[in-house]
Amino acid sequence: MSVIEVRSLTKRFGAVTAVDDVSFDVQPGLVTGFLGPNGAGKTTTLRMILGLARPTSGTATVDGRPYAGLADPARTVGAVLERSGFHPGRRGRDHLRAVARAARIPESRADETLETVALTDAAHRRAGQYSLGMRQRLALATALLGDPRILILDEPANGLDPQGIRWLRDFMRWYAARGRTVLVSSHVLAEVSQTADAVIVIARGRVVAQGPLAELTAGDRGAVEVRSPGAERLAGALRERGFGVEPGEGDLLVVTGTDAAAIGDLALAEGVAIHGLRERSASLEEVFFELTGEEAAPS
Amino acid sequence: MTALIAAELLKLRTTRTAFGFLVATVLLTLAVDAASFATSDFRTEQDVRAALSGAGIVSALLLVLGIVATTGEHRHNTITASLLASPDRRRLVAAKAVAYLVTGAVLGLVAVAVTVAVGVPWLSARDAPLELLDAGDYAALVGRGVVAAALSGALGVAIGAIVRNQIAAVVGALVYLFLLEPVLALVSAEVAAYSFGSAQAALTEGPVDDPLDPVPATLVLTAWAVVLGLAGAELEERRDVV
Repeated sequence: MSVIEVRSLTKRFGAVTAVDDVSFDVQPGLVTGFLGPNGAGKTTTLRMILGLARPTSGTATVDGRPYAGLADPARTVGAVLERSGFHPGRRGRDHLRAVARAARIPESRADETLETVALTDAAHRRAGQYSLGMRQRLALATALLGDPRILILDEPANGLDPQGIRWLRDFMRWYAARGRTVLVSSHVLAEVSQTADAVIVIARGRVVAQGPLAELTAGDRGAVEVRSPGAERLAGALRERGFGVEPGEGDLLVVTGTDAAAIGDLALAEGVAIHGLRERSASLEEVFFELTGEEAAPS
Repeated sequence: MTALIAAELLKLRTTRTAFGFLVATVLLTLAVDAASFATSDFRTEQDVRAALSGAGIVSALLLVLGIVATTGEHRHNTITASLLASPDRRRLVAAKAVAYLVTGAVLGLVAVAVTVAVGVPWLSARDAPLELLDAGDYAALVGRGVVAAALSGALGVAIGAIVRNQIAAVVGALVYLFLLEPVLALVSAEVAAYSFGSAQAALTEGPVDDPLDPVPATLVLTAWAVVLGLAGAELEERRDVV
């Protein structure tokens, strides 16, 4: 059963459609990456799931209910949003105590979560003195107060150093391994590709791909390289069936629009020998840029 | 609801804002008291009572505190954490209103205490007829000061829920209180009597030319806090948090 269900979610701001008919499911026990360029509608979608913004139409549910209808939201969902903030004059620990009190969570959890995010030493410093990375960790501690089954993280790596990013990656894996759910958004593919089991790719407010990470890079998106002494004959047969064929060096053909098995079968039917057959899997980065229509930019 | 109110009071206690407003309460009350103790003539019981009602200035302060606390959640983006912990926005506004009602009562009591502590010896020294006041008069002084400040705190929360921008809300409320209301009073004193500023004044400034008695003034101020509070809660419920 999906723990988060998003159905035809749409959000318009005046003439701008920020989220356009978005539907997806998030499964427990997995880290699901929510990918897309900046401005694609990720944050708006997450805010609608969390009841902070109202959909123009469509629904988003957690455990089958809208967020506001959850009996114990802080124990169900923990969220780190890009614009999570702190009163600059309030100490980190006091921030956690206040949130815990509002959510009817024992205040001892404040110290426990500070420990989890390695912020114990800064517990009694005012949040205004925190670095960006410390603020990000305090936001994570806030999300963890209720020991929630679902973790929603919006661009959590922002402001973290490489060590912090690595820690976060391990943390998300550990979290999901206990049968819990992690939904993590990012505009940097590399951040998520090593952690996510499944991905949802969004561009200009629309879902452009979703599924297991492996599926995204495999299959018909990559070209197939064929080597055959009867290359010309095979090329003709392939073109007849509407596949793309680019002659390469010597007896090499680069075929698109089909897969290795179909080419092998066709060669057998045509009585052409095959000396080599290899599926070129597109790099994840290529797929991502192809899907989102973005130029590969230095990140 | 109790948990939410407790959380609001904890939020208030864990920044310097509360301490700042406590200091401001004492200093502002002392300033207003000093001006009135030093300059007034004291012949009648009314003169004395009016002189001892300087604590009324904290109502304006509590209005600002309520606004600052409510809009501060948006200014510092703590509203996200607050709403994730308790998604019912109407309840959140209600809890805040109660928390600042309590805070207002406490600061109102401090202001009256300061006024009486300084006022009694000062006025005695100036031979004011303090003996004309009985225990009931002092009790009324305390009661009115506390009620006005408490309701002003809740009213501040209501205004802050309606106008989320901190500077706009604070400036707007003060401009209304000290500029628009006096103008309104010139246009129609009868209508102006029901404004929240004159209800605050009627509660705290003693029985000098006030159009409303304490009980109707309390009701008028309560009505303002409730009506604006409900409007604020509805608006918060409908608006997106960005």
